[in-house]
Amino acid sequence: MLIIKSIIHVKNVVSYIKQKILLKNAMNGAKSIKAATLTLLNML
Amino acid sequence: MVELLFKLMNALGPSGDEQLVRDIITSEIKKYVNEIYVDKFGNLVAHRKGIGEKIMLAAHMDEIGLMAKKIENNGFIRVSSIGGIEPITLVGQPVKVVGDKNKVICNGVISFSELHEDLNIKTLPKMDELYVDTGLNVNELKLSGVEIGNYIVPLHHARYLGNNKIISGKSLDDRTGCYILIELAKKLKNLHSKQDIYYVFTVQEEMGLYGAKTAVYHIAPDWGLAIDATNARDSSISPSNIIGSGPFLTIKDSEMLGNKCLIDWIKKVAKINKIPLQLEVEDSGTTDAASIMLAKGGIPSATIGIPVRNLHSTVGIAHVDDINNSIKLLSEFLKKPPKICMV
Repeated sequence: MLIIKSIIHVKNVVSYIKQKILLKNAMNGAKSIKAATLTLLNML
Repeated sequence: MVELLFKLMNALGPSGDEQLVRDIITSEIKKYVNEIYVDKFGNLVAHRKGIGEKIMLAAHMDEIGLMAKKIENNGFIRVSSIGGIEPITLVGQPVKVVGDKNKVICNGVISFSELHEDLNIKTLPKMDELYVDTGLNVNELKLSGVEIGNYIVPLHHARYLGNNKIISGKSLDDRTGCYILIELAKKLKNLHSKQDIYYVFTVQEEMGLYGAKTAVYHIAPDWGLAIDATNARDSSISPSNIIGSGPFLTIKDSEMLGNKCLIDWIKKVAKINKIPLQLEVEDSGTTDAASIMLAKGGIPSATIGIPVRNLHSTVGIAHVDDINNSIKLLSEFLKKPPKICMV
């Protein structure tokens, strides 16, 4: 059976990068981490 | 019965270096087929000629393993994985460093810094943190012939566990499939049927189903089956793929849906002959059947095989009854198989 560990890894990396981008967008214009988090939650 | 299976399991055959396994299969199966050849990619094709439907039965010869990637000044050999391996399963394993023509250059053990210095292990090691320690320094390794690209394979012999029905060792994935096909060829030798059967022992399955991809192209079967091993899911409170409870039949895996007509036919044969059969829907992993399925305009295919605990490790565990029932199921199925299966 072929089990592709690297694809799972790549998927995790992509997911991580997406989260980073979302967080960066949320941080733009936000006055605090709390405000950014709320913005991020609304985006999700 | 298991003498041949143990011989197959003990043979070294990481993806791309399947010669020793190919030699064993050739000597075992040649008496039971009309022609046998190795194709340009390394697949071993054993053909029982017939005038009926053309059937491809595939089992892969290769196993997961390691390759020397870098030799450091202190003599540690850093490794690259061949196939899907969890690094933790390698820690503490004794290995052989293999050179040209499968010559064993030296033995080693797999370690990493925390184990080496007996420190508290706080996180699981990653593949690039592991190394093979042979006890030799870089110059001694070079003198003995170790170089980048050498295969590094585990030193594990097949054995019985609790009783003589439970077997354990490396490469149950997929030497059990190879064994099933050899025994099937023996059974079908004297069967008066018209089927044109290709027993295909594929290479480089663990790297990306590559051998089946090339073999199916020149064989162009009416339909095909992959005979492989899958994860036993019998450690939880709602177990599935239980060892000793029969072969599995894959309805869906991570890359393919089994052909419905073939699946229904196999289920019917199992029921009529009272052969235990476990149905599988798997989220991780796939088999040569996925390569067969997508060739030549689409070829109906499915997967059957046996469940194995600790599948991609050197301590796999399987049940002899599942292997025997797989042989029985396939031989009954091939007595009167479907001519063509569309959907």
